[in-house]
Amino acid sequence: MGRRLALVAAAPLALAAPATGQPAVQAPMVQAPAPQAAPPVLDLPPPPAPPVEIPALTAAQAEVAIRVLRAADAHGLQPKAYLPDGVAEGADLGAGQNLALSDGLLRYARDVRIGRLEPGRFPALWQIRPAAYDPAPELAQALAENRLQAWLDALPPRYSGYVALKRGLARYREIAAQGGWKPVPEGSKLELGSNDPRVAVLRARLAVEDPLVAATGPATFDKPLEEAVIRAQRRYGLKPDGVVGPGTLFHLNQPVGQRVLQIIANMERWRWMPATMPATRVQVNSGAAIVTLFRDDRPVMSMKAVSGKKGDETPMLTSMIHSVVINPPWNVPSGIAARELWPKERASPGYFARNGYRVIPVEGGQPRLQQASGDQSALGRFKFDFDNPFAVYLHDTPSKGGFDLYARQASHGCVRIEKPRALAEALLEGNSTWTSEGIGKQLQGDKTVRARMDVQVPVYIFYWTAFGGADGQMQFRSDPYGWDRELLQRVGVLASGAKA
Amino acid sequence: MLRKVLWIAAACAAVLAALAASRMLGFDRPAEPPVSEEAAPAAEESAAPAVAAEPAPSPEPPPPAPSPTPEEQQILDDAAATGMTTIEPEPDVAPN
Repeated sequence: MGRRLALVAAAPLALAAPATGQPAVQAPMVQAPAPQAAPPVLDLPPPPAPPVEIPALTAAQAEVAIRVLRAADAHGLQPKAYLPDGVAEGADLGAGQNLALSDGLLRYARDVRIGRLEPGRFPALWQIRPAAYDPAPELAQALAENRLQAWLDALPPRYSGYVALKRGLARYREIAAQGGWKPVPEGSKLELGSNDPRVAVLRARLAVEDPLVAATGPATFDKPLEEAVIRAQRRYGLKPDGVVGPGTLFHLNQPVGQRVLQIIANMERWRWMPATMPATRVQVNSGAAIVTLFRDDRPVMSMKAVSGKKGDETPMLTSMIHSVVINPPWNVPSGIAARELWPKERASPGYFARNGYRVIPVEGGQPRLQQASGDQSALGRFKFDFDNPFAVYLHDTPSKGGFDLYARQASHGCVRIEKPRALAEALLEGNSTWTSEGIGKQLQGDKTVRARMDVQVPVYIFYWTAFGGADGQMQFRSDPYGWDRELLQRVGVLASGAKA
Repeated sequence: MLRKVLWIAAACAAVLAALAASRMLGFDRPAEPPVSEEAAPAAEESAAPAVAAEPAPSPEPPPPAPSPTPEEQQILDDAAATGMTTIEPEPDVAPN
């Protein structure tokens, strides 16, 4: 329910490319006792890897290198960051230029593979981080084996999500090159039957992104235009009611350059992902407040969620769900107790008793608050536990109305989920005790029980605000945490203080 | 003696008459197999094209995959929102 910010300095959950298909969550190192006969060993850090000698690029390899670096903007990178001055395709390279081109290739390889954000510049809440990567040995080998192009092609993430963004980046840059779109003037809401000069502007605006809309048409807001508005609202994660009010206008009037930046920020995040994902996993997008369960690498269940609000952001992280707590009590984090609950008790004595809270004295410290399990528990009937330094988890909620909203960032950092029982049954599938009937029986009372899963399931909490939809159209969300802007500033795409 | 010869001749005539009658009734033919409603044509018959001039029809394309139900479509949409983590195939590239 709440995050423990005191633990934000905990070790990051580095994501390596796991050969086993399991996420490489950094595990505590257990040092085996040294055999008695062994000589004493100095505890020194491993020696640095010897420098790799990179062979000079042949003329053909230099051509490939220049062509690829020149096209770095297709990945949202800046060619000038990699391409040495004065180097052109077809020209003879001096030794210095050849070396500079190799250096450019190394920088490009690192950036396109693991992103531009230096390890030390990740904020504490961004725990999904790439494994360290040194491209030098690979470049040397690729040059020696004369397969530079293949090596360069294999560097970017190969996930469909990244590829869709790359396609979207090209498309939105093309839209920008053609002049973008005119904003629809503000005014009264536009809906079916509206007769307003702004209808023509709206039609033209929608036609830029939606191939099903003609740029010109009747001056009246007709049925096809209403359907186009509904499609646009779905693309922006808004309530698809076909009425153009201030919320829809806000999204329609975002400049195309903003969308380009949003795509670049999300491409950057894809580079922090492991090379492969485990076949069974739970994926959360806190930016869109959606949860999906994958089994055998296919999505088999999804549901709405409520993620952390601005100021109580749900961290990006990966961990392993190890148990489902049925009828969980809520141990209220001290910050939430002090800020929100104790004031209510003081203002209305008896608030704790009425809402199932009990005060647990703590020797030499502030008393703790615990809300009893049951229908009124803020955690609802299910809690899905996974280890993490923020004390966040997935859980049920008695406040189901939150799922009807379209902007669902309202929690203290935990992820409330819409179909907790379905997820619990799916995760506990095959467990002889916690069958559907067993869970149902437990739910008849309020007794707390922890159902340990036979097989732990990885959970990934991401933050995506731009993605290719299932229909191939780009979808955007409203960067509820401001993390797109923060990322773009941290990697130098935006100047500090600029808007994304 | 004559009587014996006459008896033998009469017996032979009876055997011949019985043989002729059995031939007429077809008792010496092998039993016919039961006739199925859709008997397969003889090999030569089925090998011959019905219309020699017409080329063999090309194999029909596989039927299109059934479109997802609204619930399945919602899951696909949500999966895209939580990150499309399917892996794209590796490109084929010539050495350089």
